[in-house]
Order: sequence, then structure tokens, then C-alpha cells
Amino acid sequence: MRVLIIEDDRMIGESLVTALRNGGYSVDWARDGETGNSSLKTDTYDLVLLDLGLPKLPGLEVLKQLRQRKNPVPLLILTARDSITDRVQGLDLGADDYLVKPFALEEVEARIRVLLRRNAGHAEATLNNGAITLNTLTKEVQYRGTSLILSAREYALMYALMEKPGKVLSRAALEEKLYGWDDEISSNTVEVYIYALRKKLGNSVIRNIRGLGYVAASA
Amino acid sequence: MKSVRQYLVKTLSAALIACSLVTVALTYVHATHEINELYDKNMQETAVTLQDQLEALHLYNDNAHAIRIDGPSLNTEIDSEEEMLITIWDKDAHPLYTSHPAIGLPLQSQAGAFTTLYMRAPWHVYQLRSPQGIIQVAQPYSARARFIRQMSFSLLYPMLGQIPIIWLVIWFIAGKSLAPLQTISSAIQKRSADSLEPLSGENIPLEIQPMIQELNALLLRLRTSLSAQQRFTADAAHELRTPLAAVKLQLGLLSRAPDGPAREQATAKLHAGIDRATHMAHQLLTLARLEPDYATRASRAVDLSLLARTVIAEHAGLASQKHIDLGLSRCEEALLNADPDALRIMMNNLVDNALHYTPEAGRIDIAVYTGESGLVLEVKDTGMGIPKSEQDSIFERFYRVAGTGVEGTGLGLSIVKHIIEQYKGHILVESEGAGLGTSFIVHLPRQ
Repeated sequence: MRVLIIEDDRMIGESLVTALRNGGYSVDWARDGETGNSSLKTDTYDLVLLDLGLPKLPGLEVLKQLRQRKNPVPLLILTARDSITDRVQGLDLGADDYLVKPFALEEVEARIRVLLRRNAGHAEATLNNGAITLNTLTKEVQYRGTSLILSAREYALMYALMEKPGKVLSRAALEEKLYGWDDEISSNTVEVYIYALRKKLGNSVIRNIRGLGYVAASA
Repeated sequence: MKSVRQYLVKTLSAALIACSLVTVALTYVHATHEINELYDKNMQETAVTLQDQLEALHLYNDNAHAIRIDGPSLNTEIDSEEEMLITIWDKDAHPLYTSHPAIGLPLQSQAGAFTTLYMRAPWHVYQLRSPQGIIQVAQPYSARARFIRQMSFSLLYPMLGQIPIIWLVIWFIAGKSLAPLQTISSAIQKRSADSLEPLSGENIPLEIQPMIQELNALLLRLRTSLSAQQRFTADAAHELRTPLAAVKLQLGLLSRAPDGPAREQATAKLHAGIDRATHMAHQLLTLARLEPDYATRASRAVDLSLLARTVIAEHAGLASQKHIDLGLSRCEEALLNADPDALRIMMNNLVDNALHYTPEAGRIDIAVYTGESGLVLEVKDTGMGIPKSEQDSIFERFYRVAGTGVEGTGLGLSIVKHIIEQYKGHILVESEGAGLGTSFIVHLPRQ
């Protein structure tokens, strides 16, 4: 899952990046409104964390332009502005949630999970396609009687495949979900994680459709 | 506490009494003169009339008493201004008649109008001599004085009688004129601490208008400073959330970090976050403590060049860590009456900024000297510079130039500016743009 953080404060930005990377997200960090805005135009994200008090282009303007482009990406506002007017304005402009600084790491993570689940069209904490069950909270996967906790990257890969059941994802699409701007990607990393998952859960857990990409096992 | 009413009553009563007494005194002097003239003439006419009658009737003999109008009086004293002592002598100074046998004013050797002493009292005398005889008309001073006194004092009583009436009038008028003050005070009483709208000057007497105007000016100043304070508090609360949010996230990361380098790194980051929050609190406190009147309160003679040396010494450690050449390029004695702590904060912030925004191996020059218009302090660095478009904004509270990579609160320069303005000075920033260094030039006028 690819997350864009638009936040000008170095310490907050660094902490969020570290926490989300550790949680298996691929993270891009824009340090001003303009950079954030152009990243949103060129790249595809699963979620955006947006600060409002930004240099160069105010956060609300980034949000407004994003929604004007009909981009429905889930967006969570992180801001020090806590007045009702600010919240209402942010939500009315198309934000999906609003979190007032200072907030706990756990809370922002929980809200991110909620937004991602909701966007994928299910409200429960677990994804189930009939064969595989993925708990988004514990990162526990169950397949044919095997149950285990996935590492961050493995989970991200599994999540991407489970998000839209039956959807075939190309290697490039998976790479994008797995890595941010700064990550070094070697040519076969996706295959490495798929190999690891197959080894733990059985070869049939992820099918390879030649020329198209990968799809999660169903029933 | 002085009562305006009592004050008016007291002073006006005293003035009225004084005026009445002066009037009476002047009346007395004037009446004395007039009455003496009148009765002197009266005595003279009496003497002339008597002489005409005596001569016409040939009565200059023992029958002189036949012409008298009033019989001889038995009075031993003359106490009415209408009463006169008339004495007639024949040509040999043989007494023919006296109106008051009991009073023995002798024949005076002088003729005409004059004053004489008889029985140790002064007398007005008129003596008319003719070949047939002598007529002498006399009146003691005391007879007229009583009349004059009566006349004068008859004026005094009504005058003093006015005083109580005037008291009542003053009481009433003062009450009525001071009523608007009551209105104002009850209007002020009804206000809450934060209703600082101006007072209405309607129906307020002209004399009280200046007070209303001054009160309104004070209310305006209060309102301005209160709203500045409120804005500051709101800004500060808002800005404090950012460092706190960072600390909270850093703490969250630390609690998850496994032992080893990751944990050490997380600890270091948390420390840095706490340092930043502390610095922010410190700067906010500095700004809050710069109350409106500190400039006049804690003033004493300060030598800016000495202060510059101290500040440079304090920053020498950090400068050498970054291999920055920090020094004085010009240092002349520059005396100013000011609060040394405020000036030190100002200089500290400027030097601090220069050190933070100047890369390694850079140079910072500080100059202190006395220019034409006053004292000048220059802090010039070879740092990253400030884009022209942002040079106006950098003195605003919490404003931070984007993308510098330097941690800060956005308060330092607003504190600097605040202090300089307290001393009626101004600060200029000169920078050709990114990477070309920055000069801050402070002008402080001599008081």
C-alpha cells in the first residue's frame, strides 16, 4: 500500500515515515504543498496524510485540487487546527477523516487501516476471499489450516492481492504498492516475497498468470 | 475625598461674606462722607435761618428763645442725627439761648465749619458771627456715626441673608451637573471585564468630555493589547501542538523500537524533539515576558559593544563546531539606555540565527558602531540567504522559510523586532537571495 505524507515538519514527517514503513506501507513524503500536489498528479496512492499549514501551497488547496481532479484517494488530515470550522471545512472539501495534533502513533495507524478497509469496500478488520483470511490488524494470514503472522512487506503484498478479490496485478503494480520513492528496488524483489509466501503457505496461495501477473487463490 | 458640593458651598460662602463685608466697608466710608456733608450743610442752614430771624425780629436779646422751634431739651447727650446743639450769644458773648442747657459746649473762638473736642469727644461745629451776635450749631460725631452704622448694616443683613439661598442653589446645580458622572459610572459598573467598547459622550457636559475621551483612548489601548494577547495565545497554543505531536510520535516509535541501534536512534530523536519543544516554550516565554513597559522599567546605560563581545563568547563553541568564523568586524563603544537583558536576547537571537543558517566553514561578522542617527548593530553571515519574496514575512510570528532544513520556532526574529521597536529602532534585512548570505542591520536611536 502506497501512502503519501504531505507534512512540512521534519520531526513529524520522519516519525510517520518510519512508523508506516515499519508497518509495511510504502511511503512517500512531500515537504511542501506544491511537491505534494504534483506527486498526487503523477503517482497513484492508496492513502494521503495531509497537513494543513504547508509552505508554498496550503493543505486545503491541495485537497481542493485533488478532488477537483476527481481523484477519490482516501485522505486523512493531520493538523494543529482544531476549531469546528476548520474540521468542517476540511471534511466538506473532501477529506475522509480529521486528526488533530498531537496524536498517538496507534491512532493514526488505526485510522489509516479504517480508511483503507472502507475504500476496499469492507468494514471488517479481516479480508476474506473464501480461501484466504487476512487480518489487517494483526497481519495474521490463514490459508488451508496454516495460520501465521506476516512480515511488513509480505503483508503489503498479500493485502494488495486481497484488496480486490480476483483481480490480477502486474509485477509493476505490485512494486508500486510495495515501494516508495527512496526505496531501492532490485529487479526481482516482488518474486522474492512471493516465493517466501508460497514457502510458508503452500505454492497454491498465489497463482501466476503468465503475461498478466499475480492473483490470490480463491476457494 | 473632596465633595464638589461642599467645596462649592464653602468657597462661595466665603467669597460672598468677603464681598458683603467689603461692600459694607465701602458703603460706610462713602456714607460717612455724604452724611457729614449733608449735616454740615444742615447745621449751616440752621445757623443762617436763625440769624435771619433774629435780625429780622430784633431778638438778639434775652428774648432770643422766642424763635426756638423746639423748647430747650433736657437731654444731656445728643444721640440723633436730627438733633443739634444750638447756642446763641449777643455781641458781647453774653449767652442768650441754648437748646440743651445740660450740655455746656463753650463758645468757640473760631468761626465757620470745624471740628472740636468737647468732653473728650469730637464735635462738628458751625459758628456764624454777625455784629449783633454769635450763633453756634454743633453735633457730636457719635450722633452721626450711629446713623451711618445703621445705614451700612441695614445693607449687610440682606446680603448675608442670601447665603443660605445660594447654598440651596449650589446644592441643586452641583447635583444636576454631576448627574452625568453618575450615568457614566453606572454604565461602567454594568460592564464585564472584556466589554471594552467606547463610552458614549452623549448628554455629557463639555467639561467632562476630555475625561470621556481619555477613558475611551485607554479602553482602545486595552482592547488592542488584549486582542494582541488573545491572538498570541491562540497562535502559541496552535504552534505548540506541532512539537508536541512530534514528541508523541517519537515516543511511540521509541516504545516499539527493539534494543540496539534502532532504539538508540529513536531515543536520540525523542531527545531532539523534546529539545525543540523546550526551545519553543522558552521562546514563547521570552516573548510573553516582553511586556509593553519593560523598556522604560529596567533601563540603564548599556554598552552594545561589550554586549556583542559577551554574546560572541557564548556562541564561540557552537561556531567552532561548525567551523564558522564568528567575530567582530568593527567594535566601537555604543552606549544606550536600555534593559540589558532585552538587548542580549535580541543579539542572541540574531547570532543564533546566523549560526543555524550558515553552512560549515562559513563566516559571521558582527559590527557595532555609532552612526549618524544612532547606534548600529550589524550581523552579517555567508549563509543560505533569504529570498526577496520572504524578507517581509520573516519577522512575523511563527513564520518559517520553507525548505531550509533548520529546526526553529519562527519566533526568534519576531522577538528581535519586538525588542527593537520598544526602543523606537528598526531592523533591516539585506540578502541577495539563496546562498548569498544575509545581513541584519539594527538601528537604535539615541534617546
